Amino acid sequence: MIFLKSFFSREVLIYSKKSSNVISPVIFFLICIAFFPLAISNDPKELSRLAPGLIWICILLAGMLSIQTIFKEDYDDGSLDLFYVRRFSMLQVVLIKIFVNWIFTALPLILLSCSMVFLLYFPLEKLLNLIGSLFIGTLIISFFGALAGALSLGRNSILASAIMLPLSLPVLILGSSASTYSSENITFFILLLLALLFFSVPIISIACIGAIRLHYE
Amino acid sequence: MLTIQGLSYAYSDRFLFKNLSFDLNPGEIIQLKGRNGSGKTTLIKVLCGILKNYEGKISFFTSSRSDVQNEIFYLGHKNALKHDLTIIENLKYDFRSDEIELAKLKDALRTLGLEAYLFTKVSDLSEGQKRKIILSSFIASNKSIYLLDEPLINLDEESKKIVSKEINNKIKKGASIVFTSHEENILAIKDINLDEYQA
Repeated sequence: MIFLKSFFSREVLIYSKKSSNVISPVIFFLICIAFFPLAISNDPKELSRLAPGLIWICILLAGMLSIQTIFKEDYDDGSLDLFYVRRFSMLQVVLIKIFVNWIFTALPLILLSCSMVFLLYFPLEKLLNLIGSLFIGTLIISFFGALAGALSLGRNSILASAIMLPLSLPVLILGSSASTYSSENITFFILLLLALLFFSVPIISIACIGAIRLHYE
Repeated sequence: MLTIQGLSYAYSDRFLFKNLSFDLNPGEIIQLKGRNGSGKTTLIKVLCGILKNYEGKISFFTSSRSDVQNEIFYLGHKNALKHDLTIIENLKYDFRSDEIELAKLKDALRTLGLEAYLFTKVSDLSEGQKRKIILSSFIASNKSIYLLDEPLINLDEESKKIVSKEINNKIKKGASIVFTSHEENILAIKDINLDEYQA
């Protein structure tokens, strides 16, 4: 328990000191969202129809900027070595790192998307659906991104993107559908997203531990 | 006490070292020698449990492996410091110094001449100063086994003397130390040349 508390505080401190981790995805998201009306169309109906998908794509791409390097710094500077020396639970390490990364990168994007929807004429009656699907979907994407980051440690980031993007496709489809369809169909998509979350958390966490361990064999 | 019997480690179908055996008793110090790539860092990592796919037997003096892990101080080739944090923040959250009182750490930092940099970001320090941060944990720590990979690297002559003196103090208190270094005739009572254990 002491380790959990200490490690969580350490991660929060590192993210709060390293502002680029938070600012880069936010800037990327803002630019993308602001450019879509200029590049596609300024027709409110057209933008409103495309808005859920556009928001989801922007969040996915913005999230990729930081999640793929989630273990890189600890691997490069030797911090991961210390976790093995002290026999800390790697499951706790992986879960805390993913959760803190989500708080500092995905959460600001979700909050920001609430205030940016007006640019895309997103129907306000579906805003809660969008937020709900983003909360669950970004968590799943964080787990997939962490796995991609663990597998591509010490290699270039193209590999991480190549692993992460196909894995994230179901989340993208379910998430944008949950934000598009009428309220009676929402429960179905949200439940599917929740099922995917509960399925991916244990499996991807264990896969992450194995992928990190591979780099020490 | 640490006993190594028939230890071998292969990397990419090539043995870095083969059939290595030695004992490390309390109050004893061993220097690992060898040319670049002979496996000094790998052996340190095997001994402290980072690398596991070795052949042979590593026995510590207690039967409980988890207890032993708490008695090991590991200083790697990499410092495991976070560049955006200050010295004091790094030491607070470093898992080598989390059990050490802050006052002791500050004393050790003072010994190494870093007292004026407590609130300086690590990114603003030189490589030698970064090494000194972790060495301050080493000085303030009270473990029974120390596994040190190039502890004196990047240090000036004065700091080398201070660290060497601290190593001798720990030996006198009964600690066991294994360290790697390319420097000749420093500290070690006995040395192991890994070049002699190549396959």
